[in-house]
Amino acid sequence: MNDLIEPFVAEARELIQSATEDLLALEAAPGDGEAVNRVFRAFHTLKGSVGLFDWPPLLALLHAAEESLSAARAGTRPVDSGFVDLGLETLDAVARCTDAVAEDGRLPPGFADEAARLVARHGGPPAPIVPEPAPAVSDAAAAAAPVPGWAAALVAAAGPAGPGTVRVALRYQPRGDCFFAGDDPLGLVRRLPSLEALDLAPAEPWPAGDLADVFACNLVITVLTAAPREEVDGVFRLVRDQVTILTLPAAPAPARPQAPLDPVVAAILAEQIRGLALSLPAEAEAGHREAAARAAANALRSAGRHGEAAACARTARGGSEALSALLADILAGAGPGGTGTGPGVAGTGPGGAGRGPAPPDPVPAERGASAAPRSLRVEAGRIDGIAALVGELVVARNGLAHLAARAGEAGVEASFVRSLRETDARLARLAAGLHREVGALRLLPLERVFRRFARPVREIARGLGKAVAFETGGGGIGADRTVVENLFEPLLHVIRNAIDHGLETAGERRRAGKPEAGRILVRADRQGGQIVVSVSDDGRGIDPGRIRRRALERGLMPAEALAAMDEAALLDLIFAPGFSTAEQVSDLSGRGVGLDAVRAAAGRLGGRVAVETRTGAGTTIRLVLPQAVALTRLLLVGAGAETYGLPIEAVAEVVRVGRDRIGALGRGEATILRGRTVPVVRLAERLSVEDGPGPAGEATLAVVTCGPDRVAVEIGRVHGHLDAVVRPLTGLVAALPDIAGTTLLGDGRVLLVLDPAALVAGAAEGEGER
Amino acid sequence: MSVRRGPDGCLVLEGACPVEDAETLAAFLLAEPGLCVDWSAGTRLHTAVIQVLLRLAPPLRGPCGDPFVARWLGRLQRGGTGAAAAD
Repeated sequence: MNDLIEPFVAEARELIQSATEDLLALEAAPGDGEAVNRVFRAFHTLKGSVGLFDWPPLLALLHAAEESLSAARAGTRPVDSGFVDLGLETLDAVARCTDAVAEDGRLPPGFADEAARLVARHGGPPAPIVPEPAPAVSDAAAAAAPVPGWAAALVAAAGPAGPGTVRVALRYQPRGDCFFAGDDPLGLVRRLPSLEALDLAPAEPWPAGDLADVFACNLVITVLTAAPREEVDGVFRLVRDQVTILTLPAAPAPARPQAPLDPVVAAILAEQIRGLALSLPAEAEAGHREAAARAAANALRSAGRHGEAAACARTARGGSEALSALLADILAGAGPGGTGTGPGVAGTGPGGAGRGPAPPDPVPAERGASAAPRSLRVEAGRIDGIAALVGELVVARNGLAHLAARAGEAGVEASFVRSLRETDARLARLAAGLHREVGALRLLPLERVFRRFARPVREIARGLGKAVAFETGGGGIGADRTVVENLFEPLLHVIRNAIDHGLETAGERRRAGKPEAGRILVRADRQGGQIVVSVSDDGRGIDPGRIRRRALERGLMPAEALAAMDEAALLDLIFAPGFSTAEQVSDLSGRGVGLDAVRAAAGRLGGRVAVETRTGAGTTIRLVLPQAVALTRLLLVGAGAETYGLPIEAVAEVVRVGRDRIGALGRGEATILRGRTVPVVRLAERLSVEDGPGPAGEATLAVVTCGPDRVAVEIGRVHGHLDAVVRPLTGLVAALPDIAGTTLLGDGRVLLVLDPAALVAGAAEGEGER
Repeated sequence: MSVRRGPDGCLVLEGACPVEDAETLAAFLLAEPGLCVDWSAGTRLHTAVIQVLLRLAPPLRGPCGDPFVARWLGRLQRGGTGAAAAD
């Protein structure tokens, strides 16, 4: 597949999403000019990206949409709900194209007709698409442009060129992520022959010191070379977008020889040029320029060069670059009154192209560009891969800690043990830091999922003929990617239920004295280490009596059990499989899935669901979810016919020992492993599981540690391992001894996860009884 | 590894210092601000390594073993900021 397609699809999906949101915002506030602009820009960018491929109908559609948005911007086309609908339909069509393209690189069949119909609705046959002309470089304008400050600084540092020498000045600001791309920017500069001057400076003030951005390149490299222009172009051809290259014409022989500048004065002038080349915020720049002009003028006056001093003050008003150029001229001996043309500029590049004689200061534009958030698109699977590796690293580090402890016991030289411990401690800190950082990488703002609801809410409400005011809050809270990505379906289900069953009809609401538009609020809150995502409505609330009747009708529970249930327990029944309180099965909510699906989804994410309601005032459904889904690696061990999970981090080793090496010790059993007496516990016995006789000659022991204590747990077979989200025990199984939690297996069965601490403590109690 | 701790506590850059060394170097220098760096045995420094030296400005010992850096960026040693130029 064309390797441009993947980034296109990712970008297009984001643009479609943001344009959808802006269209919806526009519907709510048709006068929002900024929203129109944003939609316009989204279509414009989409059109630009589509232009890279050969998809004429899609390009025509985007062009027509852009035209009609342009008319809306100009106020010649009303922004009404018909306009918003057309925009949304266009986005739907584009989204289908994007999906099809992602699938097989082609537009969906029959798309040309659909596009033509939409184009017609956007305003008839489109104007011909004129590709935007590339900015042409006017040689005359370029030649008239003065030398920019940075080049003047280089010239000042290098001194005047020999007569007839053509020099090339180059300003190279590598992209922030260039190190990741394998670039060595100075490596390119090393390839330039005949260097005459080089400067290296931070492009932006350094961010507050920390390790995170060591690999973010924040440099501006400026270079002056006597190498031919073609050679310079050749070296930098792959980073053409990051460099400005200027050819400085040969310095003419000075027409009016002047006494050479006093070295002190020359140094002062050179210093001003250097200062002027710094990137400064616009508001500081003017003051800085004035001070530089004053300093230069004073120095020149002290040398009796009054004409040039006056020229400094005059030129300073024309901008930093003009001042730099003048100072460079004076340094080079040409002077303002010289008959020579002075170093003009004939060049192209982002900094020097197409400028008029009074160039705008380049600083604000460059600042704006670099102030945009810098980001790197990384495939999620690779982050997961890193997270898994970091997990392994943490476990491997545990092995080192163990080794350090054993070295101490084994009487190894103290200084060696100490440095081993120090290394281990440092490794532990680094590994923990890495673990934290990688965890944070996986966090996504819940906004990602919240903002996807605006469109479906609009459609559901329309379909039911209800008016809905939809609000979200707390979207900035981050949650694990797994949580964020799997939250859309269950939350949408809850929202659909709230609109369908929670909100009354407009008439009912009027009679109840409520505003006609029902309110649906989706918000996130942080609560300890957990995140609570709630969906609230201001509808009729849930009537426990009705739940009781419905549960009876459905035969979910016997009447006497229902009669004995309190209100909370009754409310909880709405999450029971097979329960639906709607009088009529609507085409929206009645799709055979009830709120039990929501509870199951929350469970899979390691969370739970709760409901709270007040008759006549509304209902809130809360999903309590873990912020980070911590994966635990489990060893799957057999006990009789059952399989249990044993957290691998607590397992020091799995060994086979002959049964003759397990002896009675008090009321229990013990064996000697690595010179230590370790109590032996039979898992099946401990958990009261039926167990056939193990292999006659040998026993498989998993040595489980907890702090300094250890116990050898005799297990049946080892069935492999599993990375899983372990949920703490709740409800009926909460009282099970030796069990820490549960996890769902791929086939839906529940796996009980053993609690190493309880196993070790249990063995210690056994010893204590003796 | 081309960044290591010398016998006198100074950090030593040795041979070619690739991009990864930037992180090691920065980690050392951030952990112990003021630590000196001996760059006389570093034969080729990656831009990222130079960026760390520019940013954290540790005391530098010896002429740089990388001739290009010694010629054009020797001023890092004096904490200078001006452009280096041909004589």
